[in-house]
Amino acid sequence: MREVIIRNEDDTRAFGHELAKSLEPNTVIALIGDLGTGKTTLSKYIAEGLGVKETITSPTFTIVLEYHSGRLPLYHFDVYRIEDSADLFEIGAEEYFYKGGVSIVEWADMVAEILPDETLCIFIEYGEKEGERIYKCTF
Amino acid sequence: MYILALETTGPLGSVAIIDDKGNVAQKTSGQEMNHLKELMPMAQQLIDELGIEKKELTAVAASIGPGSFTGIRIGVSSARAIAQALNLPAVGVRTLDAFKEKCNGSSVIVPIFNARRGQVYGGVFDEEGGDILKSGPYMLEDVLEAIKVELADRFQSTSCGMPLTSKVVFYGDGVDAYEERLDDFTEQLRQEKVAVIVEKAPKEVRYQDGEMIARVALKQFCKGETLSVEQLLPDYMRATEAEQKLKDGSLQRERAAKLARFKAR
Repeated sequence: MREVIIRNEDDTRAFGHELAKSLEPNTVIALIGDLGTGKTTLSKYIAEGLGVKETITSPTFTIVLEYHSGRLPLYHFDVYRIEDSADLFEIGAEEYFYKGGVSIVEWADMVAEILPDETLCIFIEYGEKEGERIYKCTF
Repeated sequence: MYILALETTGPLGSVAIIDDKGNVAQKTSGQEMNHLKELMPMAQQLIDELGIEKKELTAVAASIGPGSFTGIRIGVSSARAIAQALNLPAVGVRTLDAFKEKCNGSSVIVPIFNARRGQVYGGVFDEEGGDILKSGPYMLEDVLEAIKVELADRFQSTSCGMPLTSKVVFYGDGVDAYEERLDDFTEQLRQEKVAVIVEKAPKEVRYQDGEMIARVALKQFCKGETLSVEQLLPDYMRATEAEQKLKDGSLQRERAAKLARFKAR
């Protein structure tokens, strides 16, 4: 896996914006990391990079939020509260993955079996220094 | 007597009305996955164009799945709402089995709906509408295997001379999703000199539509297979499979294996 050292939020922004440039329809991005590693922050900057105008809020309670103001539609999932992939299946998540937009899935490790093989995974870990993160990317 | 039928499980939504003589009128939405917006207006237009009154409707039928999750929910909920508001009985039509309407004595009919990652909702029906492979959630490979086994059986049972050539026709959006694999399969059968013609149904008739659902609904209605609003339920088909996997632990193993594959990149 490719490792990217993120020293601060500016790096997160740069990473998110850069990633957003290369995104194509039907891309699924899996964000995997503990509480407080900045999954929603990274999501926010990917959205910004896509040109999403709305404020990105955490979809923890709604499971999924849709944004249509960017270059591609964005479907932002947080699957922390769901029991298993059967629940996600029930809300039609797979249809989201393949309907022409970009899907970001926070806590994707909880539903890995439902993710497409070509999913872009980012494993987020704490770095050595305060505020530092390591993004381990499968792409 | 008129039955209103809703079909929302496939790429395009459609509504149809059938009378007791089997005459059908249908409307289809112009855009893919636009069921919610167009379904009710289309139903109203159809009723208006046929010059019938809502109170002349005898039953309302829904295509209950499998298929698009969102679509199934929209279709079933809409049918329930109409049934409740107009105080009509409902008819639930199993979407894959509705393809048995295509069995006309000359072809094996294979509907496959794309369930992604090599999976389909599918079935294999013989020329008379009997089950060779009962409709359900399968890996595409299992469906193809069932076809091969059936063809081999047929070859075995011809005692002498040339075996009769069978014809197999694939339907559903799985045909688009797995086109390459189906072509390979056809080529493989050709090389093995299996006496079979394999076809992909032309696009105009490839997918489930309101007319099909209406025809099956009429048959079910005439047999007295009607439901109350509460009894009309979706049949997603795969949820049960996922539950089974959860129970026997294979879901956890599948998840771990997938994560390991991702990490190995």
